[in-house]
Formats: sequence, structure tokens, C-alpha cells
Amino acid sequence: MKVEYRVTLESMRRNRSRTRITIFGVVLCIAMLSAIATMMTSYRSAMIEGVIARNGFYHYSFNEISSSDVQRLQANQDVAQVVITYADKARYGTKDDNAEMQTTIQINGVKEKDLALKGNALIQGSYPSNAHEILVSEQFLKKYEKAIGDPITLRIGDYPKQQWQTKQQQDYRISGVIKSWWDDVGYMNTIVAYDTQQEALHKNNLSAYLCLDSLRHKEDKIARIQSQLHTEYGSNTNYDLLQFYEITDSEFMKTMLIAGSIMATLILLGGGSLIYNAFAISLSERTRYLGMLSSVGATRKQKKRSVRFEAFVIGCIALPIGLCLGIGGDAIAFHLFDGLIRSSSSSDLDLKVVVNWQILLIIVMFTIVLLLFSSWLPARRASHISAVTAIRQNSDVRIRKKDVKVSRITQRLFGFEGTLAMKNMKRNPFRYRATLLSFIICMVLFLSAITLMGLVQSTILMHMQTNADVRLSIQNNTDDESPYQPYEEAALASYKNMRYADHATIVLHSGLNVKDGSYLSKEAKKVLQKYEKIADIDTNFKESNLSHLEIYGLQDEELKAYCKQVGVDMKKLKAHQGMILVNAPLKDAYALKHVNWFQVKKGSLFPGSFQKKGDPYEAYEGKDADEIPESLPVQTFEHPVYIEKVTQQTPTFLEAANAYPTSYLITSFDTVNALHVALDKKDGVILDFCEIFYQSTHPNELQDELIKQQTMNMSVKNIAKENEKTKSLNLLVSLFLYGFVGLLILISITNIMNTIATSMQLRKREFAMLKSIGVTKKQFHRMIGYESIFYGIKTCLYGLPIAFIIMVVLSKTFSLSFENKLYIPWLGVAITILALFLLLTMIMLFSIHRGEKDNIIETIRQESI
Amino acid sequence: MELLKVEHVSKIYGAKETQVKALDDVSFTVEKGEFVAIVGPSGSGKSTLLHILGGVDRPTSGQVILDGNAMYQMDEDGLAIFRRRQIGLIYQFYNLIPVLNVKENITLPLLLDQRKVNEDYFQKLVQQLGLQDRLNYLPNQLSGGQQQRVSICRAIMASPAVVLADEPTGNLDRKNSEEIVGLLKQLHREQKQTLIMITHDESIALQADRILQIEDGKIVKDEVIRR
Repeated sequence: MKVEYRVTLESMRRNRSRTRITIFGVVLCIAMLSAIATMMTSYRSAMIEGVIARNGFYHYSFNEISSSDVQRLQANQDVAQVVITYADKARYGTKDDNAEMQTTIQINGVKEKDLALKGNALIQGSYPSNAHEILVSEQFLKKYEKAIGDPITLRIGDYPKQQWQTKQQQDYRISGVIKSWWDDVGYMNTIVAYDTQQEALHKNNLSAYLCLDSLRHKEDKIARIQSQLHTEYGSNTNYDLLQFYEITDSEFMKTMLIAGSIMATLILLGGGSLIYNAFAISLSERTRYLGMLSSVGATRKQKKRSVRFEAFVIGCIALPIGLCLGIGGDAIAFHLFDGLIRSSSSSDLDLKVVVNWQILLIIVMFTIVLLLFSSWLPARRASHISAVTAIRQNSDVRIRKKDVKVSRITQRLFGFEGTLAMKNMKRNPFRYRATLLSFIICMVLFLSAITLMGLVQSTILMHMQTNADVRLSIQNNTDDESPYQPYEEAALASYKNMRYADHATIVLHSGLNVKDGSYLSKEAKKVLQKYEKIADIDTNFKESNLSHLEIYGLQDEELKAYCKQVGVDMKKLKAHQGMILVNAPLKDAYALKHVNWFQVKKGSLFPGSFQKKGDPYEAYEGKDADEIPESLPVQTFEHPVYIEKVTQQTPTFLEAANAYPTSYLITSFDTVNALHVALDKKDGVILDFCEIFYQSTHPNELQDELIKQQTMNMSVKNIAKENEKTKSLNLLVSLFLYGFVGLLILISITNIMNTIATSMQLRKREFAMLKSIGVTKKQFHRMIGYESIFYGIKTCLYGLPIAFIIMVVLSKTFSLSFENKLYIPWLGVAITILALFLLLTMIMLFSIHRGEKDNIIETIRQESI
Repeated sequence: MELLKVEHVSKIYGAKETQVKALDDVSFTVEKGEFVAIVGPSGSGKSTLLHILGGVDRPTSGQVILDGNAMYQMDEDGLAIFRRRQIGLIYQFYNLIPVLNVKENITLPLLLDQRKVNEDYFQKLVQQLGLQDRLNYLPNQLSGGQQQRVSICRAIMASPAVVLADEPTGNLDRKNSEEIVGLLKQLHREQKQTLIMITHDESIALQADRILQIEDGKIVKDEVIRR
């Protein structure tokens, strides 16, 4: 082995602790980079799997195409695979089968090998073996309380004139169950065995699901394919799947890339600073050796090689360990947090380690470049170390007067010990700046990371609904032609007393439009302009969220309680058919703003604007497209509502504050019905539905009970389940971010320890000299303490402003604040400053303590040739 | 008047098979104002003795009493304070603080003691040692001889009871060596400074009042050269 390499290895062996720390730092960097890269590729892979399981694996689909179009698709060179299905509609039910709102069942003819096509994985039983067997969804089983092997009779039919018509009845036996991902029961999916005869019967109404041979230029390809077909309908994109294969057009991928890049940058900055510092320090320690090499004839190239060899050795050791730790760490984390990961996603995410070797190769290349770059400058400096420098064993030969100049203020404030501390810090400007820079980077990294953490957590939790556990929506009046049917409280009573419901609030929902912003307060206009970014609110009021107000009609029990709360006489309210105008507070993650959005006097009439029924384009029927204006004004009419009171207090069934400007009207159940009747007489469009907000300690069981009674005009939302997912997601993200921040701290601490400990080591002789002259322990500790304080102060002076700039940028990026308020984690800042000083002092004192037992004269002698 | 009393001082390094007795039951006294040279072959224990006298190395056994103070009965801090007030140490390799200029290096013991510098005395000393034009210089800007002068200045700035010099000319050329020895002698003569010096150079040793010869950790000869 070349002598310069042997010298390097020997030096590394002699300074085992420093070498270990350097390797540890590099290992940590690589581990973090590879862990994040693997996490992202694994997450992407799991998301793709999840989407394929839910939506299917197809790229595009065409509905209602002919069999000849299918043949064209099959012959197309850009198409790798085509799957054909056909579908019928059916109804099923034992009571009131003909009721309008009965659930429609979709009977799909799908081949067994194509079951995964639309996310219909078979989870129990077997594929139909004949035409009288059927696969049903989990929802179906739950709703109708069926089991595999049970017979069912479906009434196959359609809606030829908006009304259900049964064509035939068909008996089936349930042979298996398919996975259903969606809680909402709109169309229930069932699957029958694919039959070519049936295909022929549906020859003009087939669905084709295709996969392209490659996704490059996919838009052009699908446009070409479309042009060859004779269908008037366009293609449908499985965007949920395709977004994972794009970068520029995919929000998901863009977010992943940005997040990954930010984290990688933070790691590279922290790690790069650590590695660079380590080499710079190593050089200081090896000055004597390199000088000796020089004195016996080593060339500059050989001395440079010595430093680079150290980088090579560290890289060889750290790279494989780091990669294994990173990937292994992910595997362990996925296993440990499997439950949490699944509960935080809407699709039962199964996270498995997926390694993308190309990305890992990039990481390896990055690390090599980083090691080379970090050792480049020290290598260059090493090549200039002369024999004399080493013999004198004094790199301090280059101390300049101006470098060790200390201001009078420092001398007066901190005394001689402080002066000496300051001079020691500044004696080697290169090392001083490198050390300070690494401290500043540590501080900035840490503060940026905790700010990011706070903002991400706030964003996730901000949109959590807390007003109810389960919500049932019922919409009775869906046909504009039929007369309005008021909601009967008696008919809704059974929903109020559901099993597993602890408390239920029935609300009759309506809404009105606000004609213009003339009733808006000045403050409201200012906030809207800033928050909703509407330049001229008077002209563009319709763009505002406040141009439409929701109306909530409460039953007497809830209305009484609310009226008492806001100081309104319920009897008078009902007698006047009046409404209480609520100006709800605006919230973001960390502040509430109370704004009187509308300034309306109590006892006055508020002009609500309502749309008239009818299609404005009816008058242009039969006319050429050129003759039809692009947009036609919708006909409206005014219908005033009586304002009984204006308040900022929100009723309990609604959110106390919203993330957008909100005003609404609270009134009685009967008043809303009466309003609708009045609007109906004036031929107005009525936006009504009934909502029931449930409080429940068993929300999942309540949801199942509601699904059993669910019809087409109902939807059930399990708010508690969604909140649990949000909380799980928040916990998962927090754990990840805490882990990330924790590791960044570890890199920072490693860096600081390496720098300080080695600096102390290099000055052992000087310390012994001072002790020999008569420095007491206290004075010595004070001197070292001042050094810590000075480094700490300088770090804060530079680091805090930089960190604050980053906090401002992050705050604006997250746009959480309606008044551009900044998110500054003051507690985190205080802890960081305190921790920095504490850490510096502890490390220095620890280093001193190690040398305390050293004999003064032996230390002085040892360091002399 | 007896200034320094060394009583049965021994210094042992290591243990069992690797035990080395650097000093073996050494006892002697030094009068105030005396110039003592300590001579002996390499490894005889003369530097060890000097460093024990200077309070920078503890004896394994025995006692050192300087100006009535039993040095090794003091705690670490007490010894450090005693050292900067009562003992001036001059090393072969100068051991100046690289970040302090000449003036700061010289006045270091006083600065540590938070005592005011007697400017007249300071000026007198630096004039005497030829450093008046170098006061703002850093050690790396001085020659070896100049650095040793600074070291000497530092050693006597606090008017210590005793100045201990460990081969002060070992790193200097002949001319500088002669100058340094001359300066030390001058200080000894003019200020009645008690001076104990280790030297290999016989000609320097003969300039002392008394020569202590050490071999294998024992004083083998204690010769008075001049009274």
C-alpha cells in the first residue's frame, strides 16, 4: 500500500473516536436519504396497489360503445389490452319494491380474469359457475343481511322515462362476495358470469377498459384512438392511477417530489456540513504527519491523495451500512406502524418496502460527490502543508494580529477569560468560519424542521369536523315537475331514535342567494378581498362564499335551547317566520377571527334571491349554435326573510368556526317548510334536504344500521371514522416528522461534538501551558464557558434571522393565515437557543473533563517534538 | 534565609514491572537569592525535580516548602494561585500563548490574578530584555531568542519567590544562549532573584552559585561554586 495511504489509515486508527463520529455522521446521512427515497417509492407503490384494488388497473375506458368499436380498439396498435363488460340495472327489496328511492343494483358481466379490472376483488366464495350465480358487494350483504349461498331475485329493468320499469325477474344464488371500497350506497355493484350471448344483446352498450402499451404521449394516443371510434362519448381516464405515472401533471407526484427535495436538501446541508467539518478537523490533526511526509519528499499530489483516501475509506464503510440501515429502518417502521398506516388511509394502505435501485444509485453518487467535495478544499490545503509547519508543529504560525483582535467592550464585559476565549475562537479564521457555519446550519435546519412540522400538523387537523359523529342526508324533492312535498317531522322520527344513536338533531336544510354585497360590513369586505383574493368585492361579490347563505330549520327542542342561548323568544321567532342571522367566526389553524360579515338590523327584512325554474336555453331550441349566446342570465326573484336577531354564536350541531367566511340563518323546521311552499308557488328552485346529525359512541355500528335503511335519496357519512383517519394520519405524519427532526438533531449534535471535541483536543498543550502559569479550574472553566457563549451568540445572530426568513416562506407556502399571520414556533425557538448553549457548554466541559486528569507537564512535553 | 525546602521527595511512574523511579528520596534546601544549576545526564530526573518544584507535577511522596508554604498540602486551585504568584517557569520551548501578544503574554500571571500591572516595572523589564518595540507582536512573529525573552519576562513579571528554568537555552543558538544566560544572571544579580536552572551546558552551570548533580533520581553531588 502506498505510504500516504498507510499514514492516513494510521491517523484514522489513532483518532478512533473522531473517525467513528465521522463515519456515524455519513452513515446517518445516507441512511436518512435512502430511508426517505425508499419510503416515497414504497408509498407510491402502495398507493398504486391501492388504486388498482379500488378502481382497477385500466388506463382509459369507453362507455356505451358498439361491438364494432370494440373490435377497432382491439386492433389498435397503441392498445395493449382491452377488457369488455356489459351492465344491466336491477332492483331488489322486500318492502315497497317500487318505491322511487329504492337502491339501484348494477349487474355487471365481467370475466373471472378481469375481476380486478374495476377493483372488484373476490374476497369470499367463488366466481359464478353458471348464469344463475352472482357475486355481490360487501355493502349488499350488510344492507340486506344476506350470506353466501342465499337466493335473491333481482328485477331487471331501466328508467326509460325517468321512471323505473321492470323488464324481467331473475333468480340468483350468491356464490361470492366482492370488495366494496365506498361507504356511500349509490349503485350497488354485483357481478355475473360473462356470457357471449349477453354480450351480443348489449352490442351497442358495451364498456371497454383499456391499457395502453406505454404511457408516453398518452394524451396523443388516446385522442387518436378516440378519433377512430364511432361513439359520441369521450373517454374516461383512470386518473387516480395515471397520476402516479406522471410528474408535471400530477399534484400528488409534484407534492412528493417537492417534499422529498426539501428533506433531501436539509439532510445534505446538515450532513455535508458534518462531513466537511470532519475533514477540516482531520487535516488540523494530521498537520504534523503531512509535514513529515513533506519533509521526506512527498509531492503535493501524494498529500492530496492522503486526504482523499480518508474520504474513500469512510465512504466504503459508511455507504453499505447507511443503505442497509435506511432500507432496513423503513422495513421495521412499516412493520411497527402497520396498523397506524392502515387506519390513516382511506384505502387500507399496505405499505411494503419497495426499493428503486436507480434512486439509490443517485443517492450513492450524491454521497460520493459530497465526500469528494467535502474533502476537496482540505485536500488542497493539505497539499500546501510544508515540512517546516509540521516541524514547528504550529499551524498557528499563520495567526494574524487582526484575526485575534478583540473589542474593548468584550474585554470590559467578559474580562481576561472572555478575551482569551474570543481570541482562541478567532485564531484560525478558516476553522472558525467553518465551525460557526456548521452551528448556524444546525440551528436553521432544526427550526425549519419544527416549523414545517407545526404547519403540516395544523393543516391536517384544521379540516377535522367536530360537530357530529355520523350524518344522514335525505333529499325528498328531486323532481322539479312534481309539487313540493314538505318534510314531515313524524316521518323522520324513526331516524332520530336509531339504535346506537346517543343524540340526534334533525335539521331541515335550505339556502338563499344574496343579491349583492351591499349588506356586507366594511371589515368583511377587507377580509374577503384578502382572504378570497377578490379584487373588487362590490363588482365581484358573486365569487365570494358569502353570496350564498345556508338556512337551517331546527325542531322545537333544539330551537328552544338555541334561542335561549342567543336571547330570542322562540314563540315570536316562529310567529314571525323569522330567522337568526349567524356571522360565524373565521378560523385557521391557530387563530379565530370574529367578523360581522353582514350588517343587518334585527326586525328587518333581508332580501333573499332565488332562482326561477326552467332552462334558459329552452327558448333557443332548434337554433344554430352560433345564435345561442355563451351564457344566459338565470331568472331570479326576490323573497325576503325576516331577521329576528344577528349573532356570532353558532348552534352546537354546526362547527363553531369555519375555514372560510360563513354566515347562515337559523330558524324553525316549519318556517323552512313554509318558505319552500312559498317558493314553489312562485316557481322557484328549491334547494332542500334534511340532515340528521348524530352523536354516537358507536359510530360504525350506527352507520351499518343506517345503511340497512338507506335508499337512493339518502347518504350516510361516518364523520367519526374520517376524524379517526385524520388523527391517525396526523399521528403518522408527526411520528415521521419527529423521527426526521430527531435524526437531524443527531446529525447536528454529532457535528458540534466532532468540532468542539477535536478543537479541545488540538489545544491540549495550550491548556496545559495556561495551567502551568497558574490558571485555576474556575478560570479555565470560565474561559471555556465564554467560548461556548460566544459561539452561541454568533450562531443566534446569524442563524435566527435566516431561520425566521425560512419560517416566513413556509408560512406563506402553507397559506394558513387569512391575515398572512406568521406561524412562529416561539417555544421551539426558545428551546433551540437554550439547547444550543447547553449543548456547547456540555460538550466543551465533557472534553475538558476528559483532559483534567492529564498531567500538565506530560501534556506540554507530549505535544513538543 | 531558607526559601525552598525539599524533603524526601520521590516520584514514581508506572507500577510493578513497569515502575520507574524518576526521583528517589531527594532532599535539599535553597537560600533566598541563590542561583542553583541542576545538571545530570538525560533521564536522570532533573526536569522531573524542577517541575515538582514548580508545582506542575505532584511528587509521589515527600514535601516541598516554598517561602514557608507546603505546596502539596494545597488544593488544585490554591496551588494554581500560588504558582502564578510565587513561581516563574521558563521552558525550553517558550510555551507562549499564541493568540496573545507580547505584552499580554508577559502580563498573563497578573491578568489571571486580576492585579494591576505596574507599568514602570513593566517598562523597565521590557527595556532590559530588549522587547520594547515588540509589545504588539504575536509569538509567531518573533524569533526564538525573542520568544524566550518574553518567557523570561513573564516568569519574573509577578516578582515570584523563585524562577525555575528548564534548559532555557536548549532551543537557541550560541549567541542567543549567551544573551539569555546573561539576562538571567543580570536579573539574579540586580533583583536578588532566586533562580534554579537545568542545563546540559557545563559553562552555563559554572556560572551558577551552586551545582546540584543528579543521577538516577538521586542527588549525587551538591557543590557550592561561589558564595
